[in-house]
Amino acid sequence: MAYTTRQQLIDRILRFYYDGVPDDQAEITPNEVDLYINDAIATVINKQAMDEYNITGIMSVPEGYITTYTIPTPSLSDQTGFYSSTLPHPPLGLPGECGVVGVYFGGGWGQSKPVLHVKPQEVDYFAFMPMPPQAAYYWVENSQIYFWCNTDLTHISDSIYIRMASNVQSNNSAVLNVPPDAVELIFQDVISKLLPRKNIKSDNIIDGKENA
Amino acid sequence: MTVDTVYRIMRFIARKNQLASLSPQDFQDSFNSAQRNYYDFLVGRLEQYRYDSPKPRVGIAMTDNVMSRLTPFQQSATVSVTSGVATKPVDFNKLLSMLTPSNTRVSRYEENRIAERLADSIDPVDEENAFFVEKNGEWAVYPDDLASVTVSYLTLPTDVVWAYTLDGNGRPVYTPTGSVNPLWYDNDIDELIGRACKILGISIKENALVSYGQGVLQNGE
Repeated sequence: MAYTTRQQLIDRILRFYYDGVPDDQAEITPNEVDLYINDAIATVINKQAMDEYNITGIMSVPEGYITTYTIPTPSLSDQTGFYSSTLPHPPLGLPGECGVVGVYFGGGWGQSKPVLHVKPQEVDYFAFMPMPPQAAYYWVENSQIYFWCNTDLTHISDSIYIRMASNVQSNNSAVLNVPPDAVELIFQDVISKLLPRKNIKSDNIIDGKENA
Repeated sequence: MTVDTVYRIMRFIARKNQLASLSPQDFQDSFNSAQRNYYDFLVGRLEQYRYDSPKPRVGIAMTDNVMSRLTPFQQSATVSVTSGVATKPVDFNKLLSMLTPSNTRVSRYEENRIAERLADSIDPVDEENAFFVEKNGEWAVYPDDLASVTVSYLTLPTDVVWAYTLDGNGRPVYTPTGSVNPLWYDNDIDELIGRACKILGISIKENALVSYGQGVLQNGE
């Protein structure tokens, strides 16, 4: 069984755009197409999540988009007492903060109970409320993830796992991180953005003017 | 086809048109000029570009028919890059492709795009996204730490030479020693002869040869 890898999708898009294998003078590069694919996946995730919400009434992310990452050991802020680390990318802007699906610790002893989510707007008063002794909390600001817990996270040997909807991929030879039914939507989305470029009159003349 | 055969065919056409004898020098000059002319035609004529479409009617890599005819002039070489400069091979005329040692393409950019290309955030300046700028006698290659590039290119047609010795009556007699044959495939020779006849016809003000050559150019026969 052959599934579409990200590189194959890039190649399919380039072949479609150039009506064959691109030649050495092709202006659109795989790196550029890769960025378009990132955007298209984010758009399609949002669309499919909303479609599912309209049918089931439950806001969730299709499993095909979910990836589990480990993040660097958090550092402690002396001023706030919060721990923070970096996510692989900012969470997608899905309703109901569905961008990050789950956070937990893991080690030789197994998997922890889930770290509890707090909305960023609740953080300022949350920190002054009574806390269960063993609970840990997190919230996200752009690509930073913050933790509050009684354990010193800077010295833990456990890994912190983040399960989140992802539109990026570090390895283009790996299978595309989307459900198979979304590949066509992503392809169409990218092509619809690229094709108008064929009709743009470019000015390649060196004549001191932007437009000839 | 040997240069002697080509000369014989041209003398045959000249006789057919009741012209005086065709000297070896006139033959060489007209045929060599025709060679460059036809080569230029296959590569692509600038004057056929439209203002909004830089494409000639016939151009290099347009079809396998065009490319096959040019293969006698195709060469490849691995060229060392020193401080970002690769020297063109001495017989270089037209670049077909340039590859890095990892077989990734080296794209072409013109001088007026270099600053933006160097600062580009999408395609970093590395071996996978290498590029070059063509200069006189060399290419400026980026990134400048590339060790070498592999180029495929076209050379200009070699000038033919009909070498001869003089017989007892002072007439030239063909000798293969020192002669240089045309590199073209046989099916291109008639096209070249037609072009050579046109050039020769203009030279000696012979309309019959000019119209014969014009017919070859227009109708291919």
